[in-house]
Amino acid sequence: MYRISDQQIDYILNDIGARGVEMESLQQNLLDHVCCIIENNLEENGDFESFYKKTIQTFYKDELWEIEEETLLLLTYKNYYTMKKVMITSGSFSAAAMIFGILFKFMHWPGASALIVLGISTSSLIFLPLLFLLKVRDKQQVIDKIILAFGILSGILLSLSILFKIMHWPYSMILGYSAVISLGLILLPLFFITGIKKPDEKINTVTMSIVMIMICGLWLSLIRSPQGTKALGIKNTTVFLINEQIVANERKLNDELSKNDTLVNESTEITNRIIELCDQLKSSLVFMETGVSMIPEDFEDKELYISDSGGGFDEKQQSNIDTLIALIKEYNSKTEGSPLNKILPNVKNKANIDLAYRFDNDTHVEVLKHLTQIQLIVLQNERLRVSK
Amino acid sequence: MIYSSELIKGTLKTIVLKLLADNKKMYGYEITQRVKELTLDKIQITEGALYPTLHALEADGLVTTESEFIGKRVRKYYTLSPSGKNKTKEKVSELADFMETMKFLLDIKTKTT
Repeated sequence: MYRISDQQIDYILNDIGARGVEMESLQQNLLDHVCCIIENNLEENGDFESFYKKTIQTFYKDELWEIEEETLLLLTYKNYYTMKKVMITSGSFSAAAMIFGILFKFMHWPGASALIVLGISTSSLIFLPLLFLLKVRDKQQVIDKIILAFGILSGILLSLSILFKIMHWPYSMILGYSAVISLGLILLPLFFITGIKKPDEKINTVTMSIVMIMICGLWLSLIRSPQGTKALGIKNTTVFLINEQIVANERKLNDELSKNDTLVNESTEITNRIIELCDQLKSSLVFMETGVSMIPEDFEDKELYISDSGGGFDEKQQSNIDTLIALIKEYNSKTEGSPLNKILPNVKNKANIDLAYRFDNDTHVEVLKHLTQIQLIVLQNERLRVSK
Repeated sequence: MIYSSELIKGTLKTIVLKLLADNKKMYGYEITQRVKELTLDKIQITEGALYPTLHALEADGLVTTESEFIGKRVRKYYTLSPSGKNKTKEKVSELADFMETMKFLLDIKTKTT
């Protein structure tokens, strides 16, 4: 039986490390194992080094680090099959949700947006990340892993940007631009340069690169340029200021007329409440859009624009809107049979009117216009009543 | 005849668990030697398959380890944990059942004397 010296143990340990095995517990296991083999099989005065080299070669096919790789694989992917199952299930689910969401949308059935949101979020937050984790194993080269990572990342960012856009959530444009940068400026050059060098992948590389350029191009054609966004912001804000001017003028006229109106009318009170509520809502929406509740004349210099992308309300705004809708209903019931205008026009299809005053899917700029209309109608009605 | 590594791969976990159940605590080299001995050299477990499996079993909490210094080197002994004991029974009976099914599927006649 051969006796291994401390120097030889250091020699083996160094060699195992040099062959790419980095996990300490695995190094120790292999060290003990190889020592056992040597001690049991090498004669007392045998050649340690050549015997060691021969022994360690029986541990692997090409390289010793294969053992560590296999270990890590088992540790990381002990849930491999569950992951695969979840990936397929989530993928099929998101595809089905998308198909039905689009069908519902075009058929104008309820639940369409819920299905679409579910479809996009499942595919971008569960399916695509799992696809990356499972696919990255098959890629041998680091560069291929990086290319895959940027491909998946671009896909996730692009889907999320569209999801955020349709939900009027903030940062959708930032997500979209990040996706295009990741796809067009990082993935595309990497993919093209690595692919074009390989003769058998040349055609595939060229066609895929064209597809990537087209995706970026299509997205960039679809969106507004920054100048366009600014111009639209200026337009929205100017229209809003003009509307405010009209409302203010109407009020002034009413004040003049009502000086002589000694008749106390119950409609005056509800009119004032509606106008007051609309004002509150408008200033809080303007605040959400611009950070100030009153838009100054020099809004262009201060770059305070009402965009057309924001939507959604906070709790207080929502409760104000609910109160407003209740007031409108009350107001309408009072104008029943009188020559005054109703806030909601007298049209046949009541369902469409209800739709017009459900603001949840509207952008702030739309809601602001609606609120102005409501104010103008009740102000006009007051004048009609007083001038009788 | 030495069995192909493909055949061993699917049963290695079971083999290791069963050996640990019968022998209380063992280290890597000992496991390979015991298997060789018991199977008359027909099954030779490679280092490349054994250690990844042992690490995975440890990560799953089926085995626990204790280290012992042998001079300058460390020897890791593996012992079944309580959940490992249950898993062993499960794995062994699954494999037994599998072998019955294979016999039937491949139409292997058991040798009768």
